[in-house]
Amino acid sequence: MSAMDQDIQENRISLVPIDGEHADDNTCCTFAIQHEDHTMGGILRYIIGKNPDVLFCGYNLPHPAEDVMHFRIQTNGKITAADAFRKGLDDIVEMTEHMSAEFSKQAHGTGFQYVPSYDL
Amino acid sequence: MADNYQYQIPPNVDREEFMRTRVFVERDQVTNTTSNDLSGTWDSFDDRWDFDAWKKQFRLVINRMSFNAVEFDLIGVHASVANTLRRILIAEVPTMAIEDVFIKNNTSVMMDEVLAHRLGLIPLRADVGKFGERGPNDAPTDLNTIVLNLKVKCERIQGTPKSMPREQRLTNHTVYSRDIIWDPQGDQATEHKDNPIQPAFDDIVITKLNQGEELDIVMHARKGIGRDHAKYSPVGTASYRIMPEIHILRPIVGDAAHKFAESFPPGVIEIVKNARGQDEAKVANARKDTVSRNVLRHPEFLDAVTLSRKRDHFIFNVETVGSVTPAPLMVQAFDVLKQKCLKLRASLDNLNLQ
Repeated sequence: MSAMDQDIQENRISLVPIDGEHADDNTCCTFAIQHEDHTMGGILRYIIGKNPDVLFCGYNLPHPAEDVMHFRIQTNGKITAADAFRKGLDDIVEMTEHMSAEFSKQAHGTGFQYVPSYDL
Repeated sequence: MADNYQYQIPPNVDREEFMRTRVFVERDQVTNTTSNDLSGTWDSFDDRWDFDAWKKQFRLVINRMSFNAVEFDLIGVHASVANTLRRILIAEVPTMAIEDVFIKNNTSVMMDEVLAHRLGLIPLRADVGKFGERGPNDAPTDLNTIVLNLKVKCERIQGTPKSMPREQRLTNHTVYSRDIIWDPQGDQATEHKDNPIQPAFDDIVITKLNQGEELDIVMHARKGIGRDHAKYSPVGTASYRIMPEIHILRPIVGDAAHKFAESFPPGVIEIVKNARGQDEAKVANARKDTVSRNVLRHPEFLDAVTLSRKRDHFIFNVETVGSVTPAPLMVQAFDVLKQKCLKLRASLDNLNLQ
């Protein structure tokens, strides 16, 4: 339950450093995100990949025993990787708010059949 | 096995659009499944993220809803969005469940830990939004803990002979979830007046007692998510399937039409009379198809039909376990996704990059 702790919630991202001649700069880096898995990784990869300035984005979970997800973003230089990440998160929030509003609207409408119970 | 099987894209559709938007269901395999949505994949189609364009083609249609389940269609989203929603429903929507079990007396044949495990799995109906998380070092307060009591003694009804079956001879021979009594603490009685806290169902069998055995248990319930322990998961099952499609490539008439209709589940294919008075097979409702590909077992139909699935049309089926009703559950699931993104954003800002 320590994942719920507020302090840990807000400091969960760090950078995975890669040294050498292809050292990361602010246009490409690998974020190590604690306490996340495919639930966020999949949707982030999709949304950030939709950004035309992003050349590469992908995620993996380095080891199942560690609750860490590595997320890598490489951009074409016009925006920073962190900006691409931020935009991706904002896009997901926007999309989710719309989906939630649609669902609430439908649930309070009459377009469907309310049954006492049904076989799945 | 005839090896001249070739998947045919139906002639009357836009070829590139078919390749971009459909999964090919062939006789022996399912192909064209990989994600092709990253920006820049297609020459003729601009795939960048555009909320307004997405909003125009997005649809959410609730098909039916009952007290414990909902079936709805999510149209116009990518598979990763549907999968994330599914994973959140199963593992990340918080509910209340019994966590600490203080056993003052247990003379039944069921061991303490087995009994405690069973109590934890009982779904509780409680307004989760009014409770906060309780960490391992936090003291129990009325804002993060629910106290429940279970006090049952099994006794012999006076005057009944031993030859009678247990159900008639004993009181409280079976302990049900309705025997769990909520003990409101602090402000809980007024806070939850409209929605008293109780197990979601009255008739869950907890254990069975024999004459003279008793249970005297105090339980603390707290908020948790399915990722931590499956008892916190609000859904029995949350799954989706992708909308199937059937394209008939050439007219199928007469007896072949009847055989064709029978290779699919009932209701998928209907027989109509065509212009020449023959029985012809037409697709009635592809949604009912379970995509068993049974029709492709018949050699005469291999060139007559193309099966596919629409990549962005998901038929969700969510069955709750009783602690939450389906409509608030879905709203909570969307909210959980939004909160996860906002918290990640806060973490990203704390990282202090340019």
